[in-house]
Amino acid sequence: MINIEHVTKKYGDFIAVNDLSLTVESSEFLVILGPSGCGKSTLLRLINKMIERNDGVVMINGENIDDLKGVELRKTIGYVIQNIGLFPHMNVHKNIATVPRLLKWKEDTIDQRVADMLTLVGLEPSTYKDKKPAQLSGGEAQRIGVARAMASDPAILLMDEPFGAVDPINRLRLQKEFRKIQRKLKKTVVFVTHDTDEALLLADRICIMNKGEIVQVDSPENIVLHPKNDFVKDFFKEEGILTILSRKPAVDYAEPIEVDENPLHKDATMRDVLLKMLTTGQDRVSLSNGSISWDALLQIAGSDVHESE
Amino acid sequence: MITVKDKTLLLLSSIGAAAFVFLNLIKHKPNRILPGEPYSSFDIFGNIGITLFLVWGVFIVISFVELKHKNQIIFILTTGLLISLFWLLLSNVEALIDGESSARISFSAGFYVQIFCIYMLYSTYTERIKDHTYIKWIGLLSIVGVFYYFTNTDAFSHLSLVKEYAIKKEQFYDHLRIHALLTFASVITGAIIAIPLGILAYSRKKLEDKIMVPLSIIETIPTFALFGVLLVPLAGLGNLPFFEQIGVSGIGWAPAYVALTLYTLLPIGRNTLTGFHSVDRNVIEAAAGMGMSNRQILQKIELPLAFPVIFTGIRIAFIQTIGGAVLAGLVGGGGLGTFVFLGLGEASPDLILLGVLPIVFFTILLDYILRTIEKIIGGMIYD
Repeated sequence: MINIEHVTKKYGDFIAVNDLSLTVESSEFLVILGPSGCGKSTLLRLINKMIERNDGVVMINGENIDDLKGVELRKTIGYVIQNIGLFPHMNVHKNIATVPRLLKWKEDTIDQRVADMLTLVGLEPSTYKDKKPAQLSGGEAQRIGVARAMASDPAILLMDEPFGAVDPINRLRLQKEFRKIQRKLKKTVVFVTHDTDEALLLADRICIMNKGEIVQVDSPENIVLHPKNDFVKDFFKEEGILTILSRKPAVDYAEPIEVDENPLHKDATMRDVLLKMLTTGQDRVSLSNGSISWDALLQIAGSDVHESE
Repeated sequence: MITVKDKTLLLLSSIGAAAFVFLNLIKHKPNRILPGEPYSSFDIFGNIGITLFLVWGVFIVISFVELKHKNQIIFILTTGLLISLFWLLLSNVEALIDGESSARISFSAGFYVQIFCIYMLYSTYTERIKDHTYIKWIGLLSIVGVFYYFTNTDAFSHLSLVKEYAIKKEQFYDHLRIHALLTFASVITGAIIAIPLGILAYSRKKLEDKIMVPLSIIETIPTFALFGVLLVPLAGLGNLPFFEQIGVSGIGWAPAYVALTLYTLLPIGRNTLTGFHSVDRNVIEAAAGMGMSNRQILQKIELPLAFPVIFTGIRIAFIQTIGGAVLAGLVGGGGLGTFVFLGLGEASPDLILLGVLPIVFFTILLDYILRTIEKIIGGMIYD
């Protein structure tokens, strides 16, 4: 659990983070979303003391981060940045082994850990461990970046637009895989982005920032359906509802009405249902366990609004 | 429409052909002092010599057409040209000398220009040969072999340069050794001083100008002036027992060593600074974010990544110092410069060349070796 209490960071007269308080629960995936210069990256770097704050307190699991030296603190927190920053002169194995080596783990423990990490991010250890970063594709390099950040099994991961430099197709795949990994390992993740789709897809909660202050912290559904003000509303440009639908498995909403038609695949989301209606013109879509009608879809969206109120 | 396909080849072969036609190839001197009688390439080579001229002509023609295996063909022709040039020259020397023991043959501009063009062709086209690379080795070995054969002929001993060498043989190796020692000592001392200075300039932004500007100023001081400036303090230092023992004084090796070292500081220091600046900021940020201390970042990340650039600075310093060490000859510091200044005094161009040619040779050799090491280091770091 991370407690940020009344934290302020100034650069000269410019206030990057202004008297900000925020709590990140254990195992929570918190996405900090905001326009460029809103202070989101600064806030992230205040947590692992890459930047020293001017005022306020940051507690990690009840301990004040000022009780630890920055260097020691950072060994216990995973950190991934947009351009990954893999060490170009070290192979994949050495890159991933960076923090375990700093923590003076035994060599054979490190070897095992590196292999496990590569497997976790979906790369074959024997194929990849001896490669240099220059031999990796953008997606592979980003996976290695994630593996490196998790190598010492830190409870907390700080990520600053980690998938920003990856092409859209690979980005979506990486996002989904990483979400799965986070769920499985129950890591606490603070994730900075300016991509609304990414935020809606990944987050347990989204924290919207502007001008160094928090505008709204809430679940993705609430942020989209009940924006606190025009700033939040404009940020999603009304398209957020589609991403919300894409988070909802269609089978959960099926009515027991059989339709004589090939059902949608079982992993289909509410967004796929909507898409099928729009492209085929039919007002009822078949699923493996029933079907959904156009009216029902509207009701589901509406009731979701209702539930969250 | 005729278009030039290979500008390098056209330029070099035109210069070579022009040198063949218009410049004197050698001088025949009755003795060391008297000015000699010039001979052109046509005079020396006679009718067979026309074939050499034709090779230059063939190069000019090739530069206008596309040829399969062009690089290999040019390489073979160049090798042949070099060998036959020497062969024909030396086989005619005996007749010119005609038994006079003090007579000698001295090379003129026509010879040096052709050799220069051949060298440029050689270095350009050996690099371009990608397949049938064994040709390179056959060519190189045949040149070395033929030269070894020449050095044992009587004709070779009539060359003025060889005569000068024969007289100064013992001194030559002494001075060669001193020259090498001065060069290596200066560059290594320079690296030991300049690399930490470069790192300091990088890590303390405020100090950057305070360090780099003086280094640039040193580079602009003429060597003579620097010797003058160093004369007094080094003479003073030489009075102290320890320094007196190792031979420090206002003249000799000490001012040469100090001056040459000072000149290496800028190339090495600046490349260190550039090398550190060229390290990707994201890599440093990632390293810091994982809990590396500043010292660990310097040792494990910045220094290895900056090293190829620093090494380039060391190579530049080496090349600059080999040439610069000639001036040690002026202050009695020894080295190959001794022959250069002796030759200038005696108006003997061949004695000057005895000093200059080894410098040119070792500059090329060292540059090649250091570039190769540079590639290997770069490969180790990035591949």
